[in-house]
Amino acid sequence: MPFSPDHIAELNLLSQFESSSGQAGIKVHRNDAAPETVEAAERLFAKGLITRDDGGYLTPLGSEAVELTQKLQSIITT
Amino acid sequence: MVLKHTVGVLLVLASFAFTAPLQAESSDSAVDRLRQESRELGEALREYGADQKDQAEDSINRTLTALDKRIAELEQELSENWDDMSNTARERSQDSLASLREQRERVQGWYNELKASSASAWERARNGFSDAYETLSEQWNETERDLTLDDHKKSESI
Repeated sequence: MPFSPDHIAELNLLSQFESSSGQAGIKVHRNDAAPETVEAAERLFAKGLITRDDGGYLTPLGSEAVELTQKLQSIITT
Repeated sequence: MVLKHTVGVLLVLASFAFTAPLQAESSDSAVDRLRQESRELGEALREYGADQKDQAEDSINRTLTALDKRIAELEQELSENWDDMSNTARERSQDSLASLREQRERVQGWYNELKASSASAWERARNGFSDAYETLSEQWNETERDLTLDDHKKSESI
């Protein structure tokens, strides 16, 4: 099953977190960010991966997702 | 990178709240004791192994219960001082408490993860909890500072 544009936007947003450690949060500025990024944040929040609908911090599930995203990125870019 | 222009990254980097000397902004000895307890928990968390899960949970429970009580006290203080505060001070205090509650909620998520973790997942859950707890502790100190600052301003104006 190919990644949908929504999935790609979510993966890109997850990759904005510096690490899976959860010590750094992000904020998606609704007025400045691309609509797909704003919507990706809302979906990630709804799925329980981040603590706010405009970013915030990674939840335990989000932390795991970032780890997997980083692993996947590492595999496909080598 | 396109996202660089679209996403503002708010760095909330850990400032090692547990290793840096904490300033005592309150003379309340109960708060000072809680600070000490919180610092000790932060230090101990990194060392707990999977075989010390029960001990870790006991320590976490004790400290989080005390911290919840302190958060309730801060909310009560804000409520009591509300009429004497400027709009700016009200907004700052409310924002600070909201951030504190958000961090507390996040810590709870990691605590649940920690309690449910198997031995093999222990280290990941412990590190996640520890990071979240560190940020909570940092925010707590900031909120204490914010509300104490408001108290000082109020007493100066009387």
